[in-house]
Amino acid sequence: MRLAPKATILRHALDFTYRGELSATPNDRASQKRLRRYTPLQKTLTELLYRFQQQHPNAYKDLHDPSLSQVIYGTALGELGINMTQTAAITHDELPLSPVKFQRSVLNASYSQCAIEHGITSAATALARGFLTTDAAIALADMLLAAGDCAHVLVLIGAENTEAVLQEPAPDDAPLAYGQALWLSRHLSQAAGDFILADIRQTLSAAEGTNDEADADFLGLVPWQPPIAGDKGERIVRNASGEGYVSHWLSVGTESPGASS
Amino acid sequence: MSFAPAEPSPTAITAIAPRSCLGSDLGAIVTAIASGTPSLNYDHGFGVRSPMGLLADRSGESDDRLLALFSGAIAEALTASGMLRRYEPKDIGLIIGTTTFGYSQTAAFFAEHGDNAPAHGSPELNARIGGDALLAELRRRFELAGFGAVIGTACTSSAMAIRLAHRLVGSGQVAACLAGGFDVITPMTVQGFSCLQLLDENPTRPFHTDRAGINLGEGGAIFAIEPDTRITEKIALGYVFGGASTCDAHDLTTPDPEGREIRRCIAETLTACQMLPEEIALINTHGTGTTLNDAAESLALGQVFGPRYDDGLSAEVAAQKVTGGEEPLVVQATKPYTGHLLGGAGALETALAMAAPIKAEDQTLPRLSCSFGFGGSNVCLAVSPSPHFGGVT
Repeated sequence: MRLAPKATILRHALDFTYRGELSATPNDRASQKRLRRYTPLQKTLTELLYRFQQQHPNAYKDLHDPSLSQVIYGTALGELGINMTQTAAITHDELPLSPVKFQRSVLNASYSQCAIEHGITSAATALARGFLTTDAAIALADMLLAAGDCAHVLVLIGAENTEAVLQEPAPDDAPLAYGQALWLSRHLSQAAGDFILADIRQTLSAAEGTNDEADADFLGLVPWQPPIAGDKGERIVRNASGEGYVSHWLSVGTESPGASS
Repeated sequence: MSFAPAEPSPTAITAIAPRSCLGSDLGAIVTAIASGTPSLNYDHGFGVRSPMGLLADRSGESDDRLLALFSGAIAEALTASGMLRRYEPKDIGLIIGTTTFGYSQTAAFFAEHGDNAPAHGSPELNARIGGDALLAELRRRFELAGFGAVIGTACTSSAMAIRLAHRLVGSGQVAACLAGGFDVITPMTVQGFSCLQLLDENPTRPFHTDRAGINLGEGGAIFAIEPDTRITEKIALGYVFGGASTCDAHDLTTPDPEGREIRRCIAETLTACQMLPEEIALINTHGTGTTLNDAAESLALGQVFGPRYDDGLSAEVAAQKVTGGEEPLVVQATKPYTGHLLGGAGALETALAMAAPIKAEDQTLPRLSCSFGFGGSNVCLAVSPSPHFGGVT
């Protein structure tokens, strides 16, 4: 494995599982009133970026500079629960639809609400790749960085726990939604705590992978996890069709940017 | 920190496979638009009084129709471009945009289970209705194994797919790519836009003072995009010079009334392509016919292009058709003839921008195509036909 002089570096990784409680989102009356109307997925992404702001203020500042940063929002099914209820309403002839729900049913809507909340005007793409969504987003980020399209990419992953969201009432401890933020940059130098993306490639069939592929541990998504100590740093994901991604990650120093729920 | 984005080399467009209510031949579509041929109709059976631009073939459920649309267009683009003579399928990427896949399978699930249907569907259903299911089937059929993704940025989806394909191919990250997108009309889109009160009962009138909303349509286009350096001029239909994308961060469905991010998107496209506003021969507007979108778009275009845009817009509104006008800047809005193709709009309209007949001496000058979508997604692309492009008579 040879590293390019300018490698893609995973500098910060945060994740958040929403169970009805937010901690970093402002709790003044105006914010509470505004946030009350958000879907669980919108709240999750919004909270995630407030945590990102608190923990990595310089990166958060760069995220707001469109000349530096782009956003790739990856979500396998978007606001699946809303789509289900809207489709059921049409099927059962319960019209008209709710305008608010229709707006939210669009795949990029949850990120867009988050962008409004945080005032982010940087270029944003929303992509869906099912089980491979996280890795496809990372691969696209890696290529855009290598192409010199931008200096940083925020890969933002979101998934809604449809079953919990649609249960009345939702189980107390059921995760309502999950989000992950990965801050990727193209740099000549690395710092302790960084993970270098040595390579990432698609695999075409099960024969190309090994048996230790990552499990989908949240609604068919495979969140990125820092390789553990002694790990060879290989991440393998594969879908039911046999398509997959294999990536190699090298850690710099001992400090982990790891996940914080 | 300072950062100067590297705009890749122009990429060559070696095939375009369009689909719309005006047909599947780009030259015929442009000719029909230029002649002002009425193409939208009220005989659609969706239960609302608003004309629509429907594809001729309406057999099958919406998900099957989308699969057939993509599949047919990809096959056509692969054949017409001759791409497979230059690249292995494993090196060809596929980036598609769509917003309506999954509807008919979900509706069938609820129809089948009636009042007993689980509100959250089923794992089996959910595995079939994501865009990835569509992409995986297309990749399998054509054995395309380069980078693949489904883009879901509402009405910019297919334009965003082309923009990404251009960036990845132009920078050498992907060898070659098929990109674009389609949408078909489903009860969800009809009822959704109806509840937002955005459907015009009459033929849509972009930029008119009495405009009253959109008409829906079906279709889109697939582009074959290859590195310019590997394509002789005689093979290229045209070129993508570059593009830009911005986000309004204003509202989920309405644009920033000041059009700030639309303006920046257009300006950044010109900057990325090292072009001046006066070098642009034609603008394909997003031109939905809604009060707010057209106002924001018009404001932004006027600020970038000045009186040339205002003059061109006046001619467009007066004629409400694509003309080979005498104005230095041709402004076109094609949705009155195709309907709003939602996720497919950006790709088809980029093709229409490239193929629009303008003054012979300006024919190969760059043109811009603008696409805007829910969530404040903005995409602008700069394209031009090659001197040998023969798609339009």
